[in-house]
Formats: sequence, C-alpha cells, structure tokens
Amino acid sequence: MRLKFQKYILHAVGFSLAAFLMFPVLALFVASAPHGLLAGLQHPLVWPALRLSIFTTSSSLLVVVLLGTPLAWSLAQSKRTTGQLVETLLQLPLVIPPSVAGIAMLLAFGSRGLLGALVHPMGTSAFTTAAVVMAQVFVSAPLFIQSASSAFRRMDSKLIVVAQTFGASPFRIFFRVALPLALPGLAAGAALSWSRALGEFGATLMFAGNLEGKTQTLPLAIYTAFQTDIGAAQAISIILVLVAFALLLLVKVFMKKAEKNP
Amino acid sequence: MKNNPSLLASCLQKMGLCAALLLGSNCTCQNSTTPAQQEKLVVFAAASLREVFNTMGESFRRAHPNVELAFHFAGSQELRAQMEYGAVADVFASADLHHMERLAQQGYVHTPTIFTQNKLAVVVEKASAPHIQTLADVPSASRIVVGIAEVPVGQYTLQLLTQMGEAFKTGIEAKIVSREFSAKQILAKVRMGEAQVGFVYWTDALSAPELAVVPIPDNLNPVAQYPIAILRNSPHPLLAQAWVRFVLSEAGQSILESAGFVPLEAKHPTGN
Amino acid sequence: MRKQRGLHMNISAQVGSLEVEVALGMGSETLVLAGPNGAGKTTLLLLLLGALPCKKAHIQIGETLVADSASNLHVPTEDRHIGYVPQEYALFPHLSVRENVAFALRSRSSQKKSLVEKQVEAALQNFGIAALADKKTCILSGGEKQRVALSRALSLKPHALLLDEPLSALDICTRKSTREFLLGTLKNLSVPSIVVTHDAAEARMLGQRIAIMESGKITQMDTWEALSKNPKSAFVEAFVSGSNCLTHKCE
Repeated sequence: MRLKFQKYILHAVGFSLAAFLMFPVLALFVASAPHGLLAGLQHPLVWPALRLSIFTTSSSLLVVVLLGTPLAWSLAQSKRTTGQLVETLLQLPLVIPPSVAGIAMLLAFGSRGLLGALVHPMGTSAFTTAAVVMAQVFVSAPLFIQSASSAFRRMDSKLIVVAQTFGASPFRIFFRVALPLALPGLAAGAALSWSRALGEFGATLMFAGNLEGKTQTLPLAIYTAFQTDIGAAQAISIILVLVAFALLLLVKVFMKKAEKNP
Repeated sequence: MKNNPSLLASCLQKMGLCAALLLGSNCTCQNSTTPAQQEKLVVFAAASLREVFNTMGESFRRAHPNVELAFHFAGSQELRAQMEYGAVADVFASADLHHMERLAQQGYVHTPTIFTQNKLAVVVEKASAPHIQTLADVPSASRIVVGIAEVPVGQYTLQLLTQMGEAFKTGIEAKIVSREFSAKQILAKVRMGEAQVGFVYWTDALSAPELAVVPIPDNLNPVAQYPIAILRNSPHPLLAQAWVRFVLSEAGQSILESAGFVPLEAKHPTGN
Repeated sequence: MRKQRGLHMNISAQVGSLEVEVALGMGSETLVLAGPNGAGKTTLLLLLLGALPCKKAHIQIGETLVADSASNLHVPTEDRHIGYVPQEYALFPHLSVRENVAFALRSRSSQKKSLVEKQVEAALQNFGIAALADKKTCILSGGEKQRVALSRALSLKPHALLLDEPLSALDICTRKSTREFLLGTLKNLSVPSIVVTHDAAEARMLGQRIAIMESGKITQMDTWEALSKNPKSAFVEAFVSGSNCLTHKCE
C-alpha cells in the first residue's frame, strides 16, 4: 500500500507540471469558436506569414545542420578545456534575451555595424529576408550544437581509433562512422532548433523588422494582429501551433526510420 | 562542533543583528514622514507620453507623498487590448481618439477629456541621406520606417500620406522596409542608422536632436488629439481624479508644452 | 632475420596521472602484457598506435620507423599499419559483419569494388564467419564478435597486431574454445603481436614471453617458467601462483 502511494505521489507531482504546460495550449484551441478560427484563417496576414515562416525556418535549419554538424564534431574531438570553453561561449545566444540578440546583430551587421560596411557598403543587412534567417540561425543554432556534440561524445572513442588503424581518412570516419551513429541525437537537435526558429520573435523584430511578405513571420503576424483583434491573433496562433506540431512529428518519423535502417 | 556551543551562539547572535539592521533600514525608508498607508495609482499611457509623464509624475509625487505612482507605457492599441482583457488600472491616456472611443463604447472608461495634442514629424538620418530636405524628397530615400496601421502614429501617418496624394503615397510605400509597433521603435531604428527616414511624433523628434527634421506644412499635418479618462473599475477613483486634474492644470499643461506637445488653445488650420 | 621483423619501442609519456616509461624489443612472437588494473596496459597500446601523445618515442615496426622524437617523426595512426582489437571489439554497430570487414579493406585501398568483395569473402571464410555475413553485429555472441574483429584487423595484413583483453568480455565457458581459436590465429601470424590480459592461464597459453607492467613501467619480462622461478615483485608472485585467476575453476 505504501509503495503504491509513493508511486502515485511521484506521478502526481510530475503530472501537475505537465498539466500546467498543456493547459494554455488547450485554452488556445478551445477558447475560440470554430467560426472565429475560420475567420482567422482568412486574415490577410496569415498566408504570407506562413509561407515566409516555412521558407525562412527551412533555410535556417539547413544552415544550422550543414555548418553545425562539423562544428559539433570538432567540439567533440577537441581537448577538454578548449572544447568546453568554446562550447560555453557558443551557448551564450541561448541566455541572451532575444531582443538583445537583435540589437547585437544590428551592431554587428547593421549599417553602422562592425561588419556592416563589408557586407553592405551602401546599406544594411537589416530589413531583409536574409536578416530573418540570420536571426533564426543565431538563436537556434546553439540548441543543435549542444545536442549534436553530446551525441558525438557518446560514441565509443575506440571506434574512431580502430577506423584510423584501417587507414580511414577523417572524411570517411566523419561520414561513414560518426554521422550514422550520432543521427538520432542530430535529429533531436534539429527538431529543437527548428521549433525555436519557428517561434523566434524578438531578434527578428529588432534586426529584420516587420514587413508583410518580406520579414513578417508567423510570430510577428500574431503580434501585429494582437494589437487590435485578439481573436485573429488566437486563430493565427493555432496555425503556428499546428505547423510546429506537424514539423515535430515529421522529425520524429524521420528519427524512427533512421534508427531502423542506419 | 560539539565543543563550541559559545561559537555557535555568537554566530547566531551576529546573524540576528544583521537581520535586524536590514529590516530596520527597510522600515525607516518607508515611514519617514507620514504614517499613512501608501496608495498606488496605476496610469496606462501611450508610449509617446513616457518622458513628459515621468516629469509630471515627479511634481505629482512631491504634492502627494503617500502616493505610489506607477506608469505603464505602451502603444495605445496594446493598452486598450490589455484593458479589454481585464487589466486593472486607474487612468488611461491615449495617443488617439479611436482607441479611447472604443473603450468608452464598451463601458470601460468614464467620459474622456482631450488634454493635449501632438503632430507628426519626419526624421532623417543625416549621414546616410543628406539629400532629403523637404517632404517631396522623402520618396527618394531607400529605407523608410513607419508604424503599423493599428498604432496611432501609424494611423496618423496614413492620414498624412492620403492627404499628400496617391502618387506620393505609393512612392513612400514602395520604400517602407518595416512597420513598427510604436513611435519609439521607429525613432530607435532611425537613430541607429538602419532606417534613413522615420515617421514619428514631433515630441519624439525633439528628443533626438542629432536627427534632421523635414518640415511638414501645418495644413497637411494631422492633429493628434490625446484624450485622458478614468477607468470605471479604478480602485482609487479619487486619486485618479487628482491625477487628471493635475494633467489639465496650468502646471501640467506647461510641462506638456515645454516637452513639445501642441497646447489645446492653439488651433492651426487643418486641411479638412 | 626474424629479429629484424620484430617490434622495438622506447616510449616515455605522461597520460593523466600515469607516467609511462617502457623500453622493450620483441621479435615476430606473441608477447603477453599483464599487470594490475591501472598499470597502463591499454595506454601503452594507444601510445604504440599513435593515438596518444608521447614526450619521447622511438618505435620501429619491422623495418619501418613509425615514431622518433629525435627527428620529429610521428607517423599518424592511419599509416602505421597496426591491427588493433580493443576490449569489447569496437565493431561498427550500424554495419553488418560483411560491411565491417569491407570497411577496413575499402579504407585502405582504392581497388575495384569486385576485388574488394573477393577479399572480404576470403577474410570471412578464413575466420569461419561467412554464415554470419549479413547479420548485424549487436546480435552476435562474444566469440563470434571476436572473430569478426580479428578478421577485420587481419584482412589488411598489418605489420603488428595489438589485442586488448580479447577474452575478458566472454563468459567462462566460451572462453576456452575461443582461446584455442585465438591461439591458432596467433601461431599463424608472422608479425609481432601483443596481447593484454590480466588472466594468468591465458598469459601462460598465449604468449611466448610475458611482460609485467606495473604503474607505467615494465617490472619483469620473461618466459612463464622464468617468471615462476624468479618473481621480482609481489604482483608477479601472485600472478604466477594463480591466486588472481578466476578461470582456474572452470579448468
């Protein structure tokens, strides 16, 4: 009896947090009438924002995975102290508030920024769709790098030594041994990264601006709609949640397939 | 440990003294002159009123020392949305009539009074766009920032553009790179050099002397009328009245005028 | 002639808190490396492979010098041609048995695909694992895994072979048969091989000579008989008397 009771207590404690997390999402779906949702779908801001969000988050995911995987591999192989220091620095974008990240990007790439003159001698990188992708990469890459480097570290280091004794080149070891074995961890990191990029708001607003069709992603569209029509904001929010959920499912399916046929 | 009961006792004693000092210093801060309870007055105000209301707040606090004055500045549209969803406040000062009227219609506020006026200004980042001197030059800029249609400054900008004619409006809209949520954000982007031209309030332009200002003829410049009202669910209606009285008084009005707001008596000819 | 094809090393390295100082030479024989836990046996293998940095090193395998700190020579692991079977075999879990062996052969040579396939089949046949060719390595038994690991390492005809505790991952009953197989394989080799073990019965059976390593240094190196007659340290004494051997019970 005592044993069961203790089990229930543990479940109940965890469940209370789960309920807290689920309840607002549930309220989002339930607190509006169905015709309100349909009206929201017809809001002029929705489709341009949805297209832009999908395009920019896919682009930023591609950048993060293509460049972040070799980075994570280097970090996993580096000596402890240097590697850990660099990794800690790379996690800074996670703790910086997004709007501060936006200001930092303006100061780096903006018209008066450190690299601004090099990148855009006559203007600025801000206010472009590329700026949206840059902001998303900045805030979401650390999530991927963390996940990927720990996936690489979990690998048995002897596998690498053995591969080296066969004369395998670093490319061969990376592509044929490390990548296939770390794939589940990489996919999990990609899912996290993608969802963070999808929800990115503060840095985008600060650095890329808010212009329909060019820089107004779904979160920005939601905030714009919220200024006067909370119902519309709610409807667009539901769309964002559904898109995010679909993306997460997609990644999970991919991960399961990867585990079955490595 | 077992052999030092006196050490433990003296440690506890010291901790107790420290705690007493801390608590005591906090207490003395609060009740220096009057033993009366502190009342809190919450004022929701348009973002463009930030600096001037803070200045006025200092005067008000001197006159009412037992009042804790709390301001919440944001775009008028945001504040209205918050109040519609149950935010509790005592006074609302909006940057346009539209949002206030909607709240009055729904019964959130008592009858509003117009307490000051503002007008638009076009600010230009001198270094990147030295050629923009008059209003007609503005469409030649490469990066213009305005407010979203729902925020008062954005709405006034739209009015101005419509007054200037279809050709001018299309020309400007082709160069808009971002629609911000408040005039302050527009100003910040121009000051940082990201935008070359921004449509903000005259009072904002005054606070950024390093930017060039393109003059807008008074007959074209929309008059931004700022209403103020007491909320029906205000927990401190008497205090709220005191604040509104102060804003409308000579003292309050002169602070507004020196901040660049257009006084109520000044009636300049409007376009329509 | 046989001595020239041996292995000679003079290594000095600091790995963590362990100072390794080893100087020994061997012919085309099987040398057993025994010692207590933490003595640095695995570390020495890694140093030989070039996977860990040395302060000073002079390593010659056959006629090739693979490391010489005096002339700043450090041949990378990829080019040392040393076969290595770590503890628990390090088979690639995402590849089948055939693919594991093929990986080794493809890594080194850029030969035609068909030629590599033939070599793979031959290697599988030689080690009696042709029937397992398409199985995933995780479902194999310990003895089968060891055969795959050996087949993989030897398919490239290395100039030396290093085995780290080849039998410790096996249950006591499989150990006996696998030990016989391993002995046969080692006898057929014509290159120097080093087998690390902490089991006295294995040491006695597998190696012509036994080197005892304690705290990073070789305290004694000789045949089993010589060690038994003249143990130079407490560990050696315990080792040869069989008191730290668990397998005796199975005998």
